[in-house]
Amino acid sequence: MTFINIIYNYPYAISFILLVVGIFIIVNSKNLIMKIVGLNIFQSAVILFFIIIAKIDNAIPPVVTEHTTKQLSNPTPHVLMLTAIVVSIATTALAYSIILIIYRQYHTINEDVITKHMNNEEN
Amino acid sequence: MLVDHFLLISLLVLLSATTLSLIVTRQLIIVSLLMSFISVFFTIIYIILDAIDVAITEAAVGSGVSTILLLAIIYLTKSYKISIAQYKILSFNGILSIISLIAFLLILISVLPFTPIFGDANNPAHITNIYKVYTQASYETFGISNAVTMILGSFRGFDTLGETTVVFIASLGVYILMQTLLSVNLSKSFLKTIHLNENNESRIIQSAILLLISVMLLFGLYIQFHGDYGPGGGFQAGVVVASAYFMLLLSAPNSAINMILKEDMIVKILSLGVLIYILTGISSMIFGNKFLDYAIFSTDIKSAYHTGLFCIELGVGATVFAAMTIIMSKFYKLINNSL
Repeated sequence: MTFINIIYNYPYAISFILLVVGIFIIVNSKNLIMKIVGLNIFQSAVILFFIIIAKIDNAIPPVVTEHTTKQLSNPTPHVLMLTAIVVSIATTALAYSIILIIYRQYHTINEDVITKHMNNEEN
Repeated sequence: MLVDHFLLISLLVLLSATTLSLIVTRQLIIVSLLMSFISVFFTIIYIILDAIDVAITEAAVGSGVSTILLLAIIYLTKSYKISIAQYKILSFNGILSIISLIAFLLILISVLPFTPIFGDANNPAHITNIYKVYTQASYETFGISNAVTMILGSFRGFDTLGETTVVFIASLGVYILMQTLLSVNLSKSFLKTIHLNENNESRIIQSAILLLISVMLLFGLYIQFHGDYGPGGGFQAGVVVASAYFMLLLSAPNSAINMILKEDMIVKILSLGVLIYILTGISSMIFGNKFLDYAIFSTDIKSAYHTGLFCIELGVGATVFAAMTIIMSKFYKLINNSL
């Protein structure tokens, strides 16, 4: 619990920076494509966080043969993140399809313009 | 290892610099370039952090499919630039978001003195030592070298079934949504060649294809079937084979394989993958065992588990291959229609 741990735990800090950058891009950008890019960065930050947890010092990747004598890194977070990556690309493609349908309707992907059109349609 | 730490620090600094420069970029093509850089950095970082299966997946997915989709949607929505008004940072909402996000980041970093040390073997993530049970049992009892494939296929097989179904549903959603946008007849646009006035482009792709396609297909199938003994498995192999098939589609749309492997066949492969997974589970139940218990496939338990993992990885590989192919070919058809 000493403050020198901030230096030892530098990978977590990078994961947190990526998280915050992802949220910033999602909240502040008006272009719909940039929002999905921010979502991808957010997902990558979460995946990086799990992979950082799994690492053990002086350990080798979790592939066992009869010559294995050293300690292995924890493979359970690897398994969860493997499927998370493939699922993230499938859901990103789905988000892009929805953006294309919005584009066909409003001919723009600027969030402010779309909101203005929607408010005009309501009135 | 000092070299490992130095490499990791430099890669992480490059990664954060690239991500921060994404905020101020005004052109979306450069955004796609930076995103593929980020994916390459992630791949190398995962290798340094001993996550080799995750590194293969990130390399195939992030640098390959993700960049294609981003470029495709930039072209289809004709939004090449981000105007300065689209980042309203100086409004009230913008300043509020910056202040709250910086506060959030400081709170997260203030937790760092109390988290377990990076690389500590007494991490709470390792504390039950379940991973030692997994890795030992994986090799000694079942003869599977790659602990990640063993956990994915057998110890946490249910989760993988759910994830494969999620990929299936997302791809089906893309298929259905794109059908409303593709108003022309499917078979006509599918056989449409690349325009003759861009002959040079197709020549380049075709000559590159001859060298690459056989290597990529062989590599993809190698990853599929070698997943038990090294990094690999169905997820990675599905993406690599889909990339190879999509290259074939791009370069030679009239080739013989497109007459045989049509669009509806690929949708059938999509559902066939999930079906193979479920049938492997149910076939254990027929002989009295539990769902997804592979012990009945053979008398020797090692070959039984090899057979069981082979079948479910086949299902996962088929679904992921069909999902990625549908996604990429739908975007390709949309671009072809608007040319």
